[in-house]
Amino acid sequence: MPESAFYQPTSLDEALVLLEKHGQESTVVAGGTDVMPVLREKGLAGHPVIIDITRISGLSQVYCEPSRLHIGPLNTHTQIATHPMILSIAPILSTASASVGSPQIRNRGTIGGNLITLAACADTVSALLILEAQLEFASIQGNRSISITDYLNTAGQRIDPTELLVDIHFPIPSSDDWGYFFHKLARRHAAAKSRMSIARMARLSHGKIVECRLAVGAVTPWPRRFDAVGKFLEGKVPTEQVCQQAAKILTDEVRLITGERRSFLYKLPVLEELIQRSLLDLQKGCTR
Amino acid sequence: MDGNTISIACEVNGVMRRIEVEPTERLVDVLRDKLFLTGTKEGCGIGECGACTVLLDDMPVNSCMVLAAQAGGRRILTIEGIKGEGTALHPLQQAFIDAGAVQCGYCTPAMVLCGYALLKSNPHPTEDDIRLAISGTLCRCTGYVQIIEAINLAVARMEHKEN
Repeated sequence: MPESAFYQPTSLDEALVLLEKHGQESTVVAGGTDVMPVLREKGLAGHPVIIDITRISGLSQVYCEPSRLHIGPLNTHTQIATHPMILSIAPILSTASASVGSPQIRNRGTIGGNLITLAACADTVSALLILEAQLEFASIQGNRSISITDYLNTAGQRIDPTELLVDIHFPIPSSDDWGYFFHKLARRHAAAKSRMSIARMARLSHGKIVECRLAVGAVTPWPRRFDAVGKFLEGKVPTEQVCQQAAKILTDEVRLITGERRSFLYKLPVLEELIQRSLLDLQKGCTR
Repeated sequence: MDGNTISIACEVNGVMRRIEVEPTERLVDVLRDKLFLTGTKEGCGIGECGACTVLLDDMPVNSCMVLAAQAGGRRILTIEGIKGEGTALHPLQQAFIDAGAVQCGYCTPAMVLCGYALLKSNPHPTEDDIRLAISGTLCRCTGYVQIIEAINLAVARMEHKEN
């Protein structure tokens, strides 16, 4: 077995050169909250070259350009949960980050790690889906930009081992009338994996839904957006009956995607209820 | 066996240390086995129980989730670094004793460190703040109520001293 090695690049160029050279053999580590349990269980067989990316400058940014909010992948969940700019522009992302793991995990785990490890229960991913995030990857070969939806659709292939996620950005929701809902269902409040997470953003005009985006985590192999429900809801008043119908459309779609599963006996009725709640919440009007 | 050792320099409990570590070595193992700071306990080893909590640049982290090599240039505080004035215990430590917040003791170093980090950033926490601060550390004796009381007691004593 090849000897393990540890590199701590301080610039992106340096990191990309290392990734180009070691590619498949490398283990990229930032917060380590996903890497370390693997290391403990199986060692780094096949990936003995550790590249610690936490010292690279320029991957921890949070800034607005006129119409988009940029978040560097090295931002920890604690930073995202408490950053004033994110709290005011995309409060649902702060809420999602605040729900991850425990304080100790949030102090280490990064939003980039959530996207790269891409567990079915990754809490920030459903929020990033409805915020319509765009992901920027860099490599020696060049840069590529991919929408989070496309990234998830090709998730089976994972990323090229010579690439590094360098930026996450999304359009700043254009007006103040967007309302948000995030709910994480888990066995307990702290230090628990999502059994289910619901992210919803919507805006209303004169009591009718103008646009509604819904994403669900931990039910399908990757968090997923459910656009057919959004379409169904357009122009409708979120009455109890409409919300019920919408929830039914969503759970039917889940069935189509995954086929029948034993866990559905519990999961689908609960999912239906949570979707209804997320929509009935709109009756209060859209306030942040 | 790992070959290339890395030499890191970091501040541990206020003292600069130079330590040779293996690329895959965990911070918890270096603290316990190389620096003999055995107050840091390993529980689950997968970041769920919080027993191995130390403060890294003032933030509670699970030391089983940190590669030792990543700690170069950083500031680490373990339970051995928590002290009061002179030879006295820190008010938090004294409060843990007075409130009966120590049962088997395995989670105690982590609980004290979580309380310490909380009081440093928020000297007047609410009970909810305290509950959140210790939420990543499991007490399998389930003595949470006394632990919350202990932190509240320390807050009250420290506030009293301020006035």
